Amino acid sequence: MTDSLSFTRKEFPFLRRKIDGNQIIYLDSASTAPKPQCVIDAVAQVYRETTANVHRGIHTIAEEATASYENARREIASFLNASPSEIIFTRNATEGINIIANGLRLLPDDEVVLTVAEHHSNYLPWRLRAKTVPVGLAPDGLPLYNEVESVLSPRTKLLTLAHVSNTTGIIAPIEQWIDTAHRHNLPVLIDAAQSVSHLPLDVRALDCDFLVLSGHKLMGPSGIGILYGKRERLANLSLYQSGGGMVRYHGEDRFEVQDVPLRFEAGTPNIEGAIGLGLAVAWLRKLGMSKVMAHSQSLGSQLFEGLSTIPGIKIIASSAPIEKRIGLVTFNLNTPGFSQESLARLLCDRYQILVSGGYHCTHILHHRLGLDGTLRISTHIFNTHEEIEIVLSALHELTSNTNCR
Amino acid sequence: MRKTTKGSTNTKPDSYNDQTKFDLDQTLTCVPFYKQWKVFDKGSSFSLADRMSALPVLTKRDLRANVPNGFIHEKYKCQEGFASGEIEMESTSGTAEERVSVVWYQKWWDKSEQAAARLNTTLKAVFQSNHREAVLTTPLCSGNICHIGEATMEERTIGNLLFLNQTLDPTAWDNRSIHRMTEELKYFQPDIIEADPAYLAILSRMSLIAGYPLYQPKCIVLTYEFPSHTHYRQIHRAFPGIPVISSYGSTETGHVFTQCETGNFHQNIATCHVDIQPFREEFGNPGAGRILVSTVGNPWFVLLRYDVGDLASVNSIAKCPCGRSEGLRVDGIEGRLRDITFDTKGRIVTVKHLDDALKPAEALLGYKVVQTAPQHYSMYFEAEPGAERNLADVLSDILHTLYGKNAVIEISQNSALTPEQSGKFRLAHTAWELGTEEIFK
Repeated sequence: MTDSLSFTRKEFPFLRRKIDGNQIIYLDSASTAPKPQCVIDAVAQVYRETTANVHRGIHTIAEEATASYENARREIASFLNASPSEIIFTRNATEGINIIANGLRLLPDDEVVLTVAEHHSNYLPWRLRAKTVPVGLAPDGLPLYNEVESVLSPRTKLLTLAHVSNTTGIIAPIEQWIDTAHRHNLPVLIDAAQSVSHLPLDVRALDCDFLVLSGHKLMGPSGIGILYGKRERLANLSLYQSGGGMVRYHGEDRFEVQDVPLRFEAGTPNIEGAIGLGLAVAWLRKLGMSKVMAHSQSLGSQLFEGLSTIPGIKIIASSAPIEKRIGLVTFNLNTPGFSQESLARLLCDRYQILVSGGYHCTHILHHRLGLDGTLRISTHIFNTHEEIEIVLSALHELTSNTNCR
Repeated sequence: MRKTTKGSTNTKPDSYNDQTKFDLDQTLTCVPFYKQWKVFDKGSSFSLADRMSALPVLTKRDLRANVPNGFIHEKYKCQEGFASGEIEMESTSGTAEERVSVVWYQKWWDKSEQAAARLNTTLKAVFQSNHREAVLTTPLCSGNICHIGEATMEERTIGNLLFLNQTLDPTAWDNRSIHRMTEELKYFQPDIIEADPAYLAILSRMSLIAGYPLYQPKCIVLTYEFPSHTHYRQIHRAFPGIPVISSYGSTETGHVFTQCETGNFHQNIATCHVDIQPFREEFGNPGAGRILVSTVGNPWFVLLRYDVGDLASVNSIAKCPCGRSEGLRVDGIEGRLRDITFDTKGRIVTVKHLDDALKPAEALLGYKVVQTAPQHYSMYFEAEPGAERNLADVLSDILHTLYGKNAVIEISQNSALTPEQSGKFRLAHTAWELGTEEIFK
């Protein structure tokens, strides 16, 4: 197997990090992704040369800062095939979802259709305001996406699901959900936090109403995210926060709010974060998202097949076809005496392999499956097939009889 | 790295030395990780102390890289042990450099605890019958048990243990938390309060201020981190007349030292052997060094000369007034190696050394000294209300005497000194990374 994107490794200084004198193998990009040098440089550049507020100042540096900030918006809009006016800078995907949940004016009896594999961030904001109605779940943890039509009711106000679940790693049939929703005149929110850095995304082709993502998983800085919304959908949302920058006029008698997207960007935004995210997106576009997707799926396939040979392993959503997987697999390793967290610790301490151990913010899914935690291995463009072989070999060693005499 | 050490040699029974020698031979031939150390062994014709001091030091890094199978006696089948539930994996808290995973063998831990209790008359009496213990420390210190947030008392009661705290930062306790803990102590009526001294000092002070009566147990055991004189003062005020016993051990090593009635620390020979590797002469502190623990009688997790990361000073008195003569006796635990500072002549100042110097400053409630450069020191302190006015001058004098007349000392008051991420308080440290291996003989 060739690693067509292995040349990108040199762009990530973080990958040279060592623990106990040994170089790390980073397989936790679903938690957060390392940053390429161009993003690090872009953020540093803001502090070095363009420290100024945006949309406020009239001096040269302020204009430069505003231009860089808005260029980042344009870059991200192009990446998603949206209009810049449909791109709102948020703190992360979670904030994007909360803006929508707050803005839809939901009533306690209203219903939101989702899956039990949703991240807490796409579950709790709905649960706090309305009733959540999940589709069913197969015994292996794969949501029964096809049930969507059957769970709709006159009280349904929104359909939402993760494009790729952060726990199952499965590409959901979002087109089917969008089609179903629109036939019932309902909006759809796509949580693209995991998918956006693995798959090409085109919001116009998808025709989704809302889409959210987090910059840090897209190799951008932390604390910056995107809420995409169709203009008319965004314009109908009630205000989330108020303050400087989101009003055109504020007099004693009245105030006038800005048009979208600025009406949802109250206060000084994360300027360097937005600029860094713009650079990350440009860097990924240059690589080509089709190549990124092919690499992710190739690693995912190798990982899934390799893990399947380890005794005592239970892979979540194992019944999903291989072509519906990205480079992310979550599993429970039934090793008496070892919790999933302790296995993750051992992978780090003995092999310097960094993975996630725990519930990955999907407690309900784990509870339904009767699992006391899982391990999650998640790849990105810089990971190689050799690294997957190493982690598989380490897991074999941890569980094999030859290891425990 | 392998130089002369003061080992547990002033022991009464030959059986202890014989047993330890036997364990050493077994370890070097039957425990996978240590087979590579056999080349360093001087052989059975040498004394135990000589043989031990010739061996390398086991580091936390070694532990991380080789746990679990590297440390299990080869006659024992680890898969069977895990499958039967006899052993399980546990992890300690701390920074990346400090944390380790261990094979937890409950039976051995219980034996270690029981034997350690026999080294103090009060503890021994309590342990002779069924007893209840209230545990007060960071929730991260309770093995795999984590009670962070709002857990009921029932959920926090496991067997004879009540885990009192559910907060990562005890300086954030409010009156409601203090009231809950004092009420739970009253209801649970523990025979022992086992506590991190910093946490118990805060509970003691705050409950006195709030006027919440504290249940008085038969004794208090201080462990988890270094007990300062400031801690003792606050604890004694809230628990007048109650014996306060310091105990030293770790998740990895079991119970290593227990303070007897006269204040000396005695080694727990039932489950460990201890070497003290001294500092090189130029660092001063004759008699002090790092604690190297070899476990005894735990085939599931064999440690040989394990560097726990703490320091102790060897007892200069031949016989302890308590009458116990078994094992190594030390004057005191000197604190963590990573928390040492240096005087202006480059000699080591251990946490205990610093704490002893600060003992006369009775209005001190808490402190932290950071050495920012070879001759520069910053001290942050918390004081009894009303005592601050001249306390800074007193502290400055003490630190100048300790570190040197030419030391540059900056002193500032803090309303609450907060713990590290691990939940432990750090009383002193340098602002730079220490190259600790060069410090020892």
